[in-house]
Amino acid sequence: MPTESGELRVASERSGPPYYTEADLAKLRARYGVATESPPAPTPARWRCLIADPTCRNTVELQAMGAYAFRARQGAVDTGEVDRWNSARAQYDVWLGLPALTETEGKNRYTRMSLGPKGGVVFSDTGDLWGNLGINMRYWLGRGHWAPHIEVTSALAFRMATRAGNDVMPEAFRMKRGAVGFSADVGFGLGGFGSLVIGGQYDSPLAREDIPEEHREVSSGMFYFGFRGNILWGGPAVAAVAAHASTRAVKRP
Amino acid sequence: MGSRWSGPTGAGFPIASRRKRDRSSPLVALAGSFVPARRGATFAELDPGQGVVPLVYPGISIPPSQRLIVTSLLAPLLLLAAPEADAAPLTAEAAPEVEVVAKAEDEDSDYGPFFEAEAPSDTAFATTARKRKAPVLSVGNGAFCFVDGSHCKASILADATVAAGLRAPASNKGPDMPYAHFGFRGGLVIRPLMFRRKAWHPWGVGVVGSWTLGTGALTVQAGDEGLEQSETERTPAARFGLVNQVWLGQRPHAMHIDFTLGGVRSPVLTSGVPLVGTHAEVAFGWGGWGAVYASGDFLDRDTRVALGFRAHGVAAAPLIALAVLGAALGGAL
Repeated sequence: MPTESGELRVASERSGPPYYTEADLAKLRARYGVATESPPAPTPARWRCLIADPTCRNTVELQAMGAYAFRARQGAVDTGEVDRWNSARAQYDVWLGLPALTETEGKNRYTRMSLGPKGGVVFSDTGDLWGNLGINMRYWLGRGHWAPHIEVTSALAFRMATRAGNDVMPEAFRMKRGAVGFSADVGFGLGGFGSLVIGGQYDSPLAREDIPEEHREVSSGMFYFGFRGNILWGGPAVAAVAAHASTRAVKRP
Repeated sequence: MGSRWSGPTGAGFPIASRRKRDRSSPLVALAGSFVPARRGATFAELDPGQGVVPLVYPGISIPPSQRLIVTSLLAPLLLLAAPEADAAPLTAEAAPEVEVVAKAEDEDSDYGPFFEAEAPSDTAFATTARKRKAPVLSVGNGAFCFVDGSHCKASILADATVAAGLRAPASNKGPDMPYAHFGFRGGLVIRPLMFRRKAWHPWGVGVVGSWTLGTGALTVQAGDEGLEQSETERTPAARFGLVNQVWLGQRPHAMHIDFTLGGVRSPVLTSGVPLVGTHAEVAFGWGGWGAVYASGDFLDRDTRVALGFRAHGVAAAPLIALAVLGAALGGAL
């Protein structure tokens, strides 16, 4: 616009947002205390995420658990009787871990919480076999390869087989149906290698009027405390098989 | 071209003036400075850096017929730009005279405003599930995969499963009963449109066969002497089907939905007679490693529906071995 003196003036560039130049970005970083350089990338985890790690996006894990189990079963209803016995629990599961919550430090991403499906089988004394399918969750309390974490799992658990016999059939490992129950546990572990786990399982009764009496099932369940972890380093596999083998000595009431 | 002209230059000079189609006339370059030159261009490239574009371009000869156009284009901007105390006087001497030499024709051959690759994310997980870009456990860069993946042209299916659900006999054959099974599945899926074209495509098709061992049947019927019941200890079933896949992503462990339709051959209730029925399944999977599925076997007077989980044999086999070992040591077998 022409001024009185006849000189043409235009607006000059002023500092301020938006910040597009390196100098402006440096000023912005300084204002909010953001580091200019990204911290160095952490070393990759061994086994390429077959053992869970905060530096992994997705994981596929082979989990095994060996646990002490305090089992109970409904007895005679009219006397309020409950059968209780000490046993063991061995569980073999496949877990898929998907990043549900991630965080970023510089250019490095970490999984803070993973969620995913899981499925497998559970064994206890007398050849009891359940299938289970559900979800697993792991919350990392750190970013290192030995970071502690909390695990929570929940699953539908359903009877599939047991060791049984009668007057007609010799005792053998046989298919056996049961109503769908559920199991849930929580664990505290290190680095995806292993966790101490406490949990429980409930087997729903199958006691409808239209089902013949000899095919009805009473409600039952267990509380368990054990060690669960990835079988790739061997420890959890040994624990699970040892717990499984120990069921041979269990005397069920 | 070889034409030369002087004017404000540097990183902040309008990028449009560097385009081939703009070299013919500085006027077009001037007008182009007010629109984004190309997708992805930074503002450092787009911003003139000198505030409002000066009117005076030394060395430029604007034809009289076009002077009116220039004036009419820039007049509103000049009216909006109020003079400030720190405004610099706009003279020919204020603008540095730097010669801009037009590029040769072939220098801009790789320049284009469209179809640029998507900018990669600047964050990454430190550990990747695979060393190379090819799918894990694959050959020929995904031409054949032993674990199904989003970029596999052909994949083998081999997995183990557990499932639970309901067995519903015909109404006059007894009550609905819980049903569970474990089993194995195998098959082959291909991505036909990824064979013909190199580009990724979400559709896959294949054939699968499976065998499961389920809990037994129980029937209760009214007879001449009251209720008659019979049972079986177990229920084997063999299935064969056509599977259609829809992949929902291209990442490793990408999610996909599988629809399977086929036939099942299994003993009906307690008859002991295997019949052929219809098998249908919908599954939601993560790569080739695992899936959750709902399936149904529809036979004559015998319907079984189940919700299950299956895992690839590479993952399931060690666990099955441990389970069998434990069961043997524990006295179950």
